[in-house]
Amino acid sequence: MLNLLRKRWWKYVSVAFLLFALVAGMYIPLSSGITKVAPGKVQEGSTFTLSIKTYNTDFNKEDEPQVYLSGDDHSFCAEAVSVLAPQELEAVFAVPDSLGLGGKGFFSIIVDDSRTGTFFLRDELAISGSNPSNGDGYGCINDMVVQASANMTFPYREILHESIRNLFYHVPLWFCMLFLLMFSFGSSIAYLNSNKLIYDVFAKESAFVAMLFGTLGIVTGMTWANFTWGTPWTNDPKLNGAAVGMLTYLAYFVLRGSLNQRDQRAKVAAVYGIFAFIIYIIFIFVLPRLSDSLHPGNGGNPAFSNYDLDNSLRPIFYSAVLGFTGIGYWIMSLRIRYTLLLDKQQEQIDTPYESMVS
Amino acid sequence: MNLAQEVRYLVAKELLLEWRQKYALGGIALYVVSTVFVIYTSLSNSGQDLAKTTWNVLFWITLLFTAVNAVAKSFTQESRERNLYYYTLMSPQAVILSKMVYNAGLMILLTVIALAVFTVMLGSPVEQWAIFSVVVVLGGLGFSFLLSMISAIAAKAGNNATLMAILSFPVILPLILILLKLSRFAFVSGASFDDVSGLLVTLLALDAMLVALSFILFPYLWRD
Repeated sequence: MLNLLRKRWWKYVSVAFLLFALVAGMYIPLSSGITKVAPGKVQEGSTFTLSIKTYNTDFNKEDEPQVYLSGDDHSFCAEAVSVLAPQELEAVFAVPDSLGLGGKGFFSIIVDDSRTGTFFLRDELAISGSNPSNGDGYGCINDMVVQASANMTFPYREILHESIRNLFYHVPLWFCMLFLLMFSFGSSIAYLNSNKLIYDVFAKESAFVAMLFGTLGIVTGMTWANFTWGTPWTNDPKLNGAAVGMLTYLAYFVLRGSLNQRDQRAKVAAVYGIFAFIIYIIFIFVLPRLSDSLHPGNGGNPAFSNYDLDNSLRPIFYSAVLGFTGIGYWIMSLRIRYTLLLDKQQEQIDTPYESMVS
Repeated sequence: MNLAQEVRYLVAKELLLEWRQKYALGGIALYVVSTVFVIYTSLSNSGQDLAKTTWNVLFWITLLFTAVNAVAKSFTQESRERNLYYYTLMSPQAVILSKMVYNAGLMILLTVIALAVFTVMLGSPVEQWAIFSVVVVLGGLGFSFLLSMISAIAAKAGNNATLMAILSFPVILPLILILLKLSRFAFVSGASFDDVSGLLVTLLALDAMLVALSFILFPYLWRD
């Protein structure tokens, strides 16, 4: 294990992965999206002008962007579309007066531009009316061709906006923390089985670096939550799980500090490390059963895998995971070697560490 | 001697020790009563009724602190030499099992006292006594299993009260959250065991896992 930690190749690989993730994660633009439409509510049978504000678009009169409304088995085209600015459109709609909405129907706004591609805002416009359907289809959606954007983009989401890039920091930092804690857990078991102090050093240093990454994960998460949920901390099972993990391992370090004799410290810390890790894992799996989470993939929220229709996030996310994990293990290996050197200097370990590894 | 016999002797020894030092048991019982009395006087001065949720949280927090105080002495009330003597006679599994069994009994006794004092002083929102007693018993078992192991760990580090608390609170949280959720069902008059079966199974599994973990890990811990 120590030999692998001394090898260089995986450090270069993880730096390459991390650099790729950082550069691509910042450089690739967001796809186009609609930020605001007005009015939000109209009557059926009316003619109205819909003003649309968009993000990351470059509308041009010559391109003749098209606007559609779609929902409740109906779809209609705009009578006229005018480009006010590169990021602002106005579309005139004439809504037929007997749609069979039964009170109220929600319509999505779809914008189709030959250069930026097709994008939409889901269920934003409410059309109210209770006339029965006259049976005619108002379809002109058949004319519409869904165009993908020519360049690689990240998906545009209403609440997330540009903060979707935090996916490459927040989540991989947590993953890295969990991998390091698993390593600490494995080292604790190895120590109890072999009584070799080197495993105690492994367990301690990996838990230490895991706390470093956990802190970064909490900070990035709080920044993200402040932007999307409007508050840095909510009573969310995943947040509580994270906080409990941090408390547990801080207690682990206090326990280590209160024991002076080396073998005893290693043994007691290993026992608590194993005990705490298993309960922590159960906590992470049990807690979401007790209450809903705001996190993607919980409590009816779509997971991120539903978001990236074009899989643009995936490769960068995975390379960020590999990169951060590699860097985490690198920091850990440096700390382990530093501790071993200190030990050697103070002659606290009777046997040289090479013989302990073999 | 087989394990069951060893455990029986050790539990009998614990009971005998407790009987000789009656003030210790009296002390912890007084701890419960005083805590509830502090809660009662604080609340009666505020002049507001106690909501069910508040009652629930106060009850379990009181039990948590009582449990930490009651179990903390498990491995320190006898001298180190005498502990060494037990270890030469008995298997480490018997030692930890006997502590867990004894502490479980102690916890259930303390829970009954706490519940009685709570009911007398603060009233009780419990509608389904069958569900609530099952929850309280399983909760007492969970507290005693987990805290017995933690007190064994803390005893190695000089067993100061701070260490006992900071080591146990993060790991006891899953248990507390399940118990709070479960007891809320006991406050609803229409609730039945079908509503809580899933959570009860989770709680049982957690208790069983705590026993298994202590059983595996304690033998590494006791040797000095």
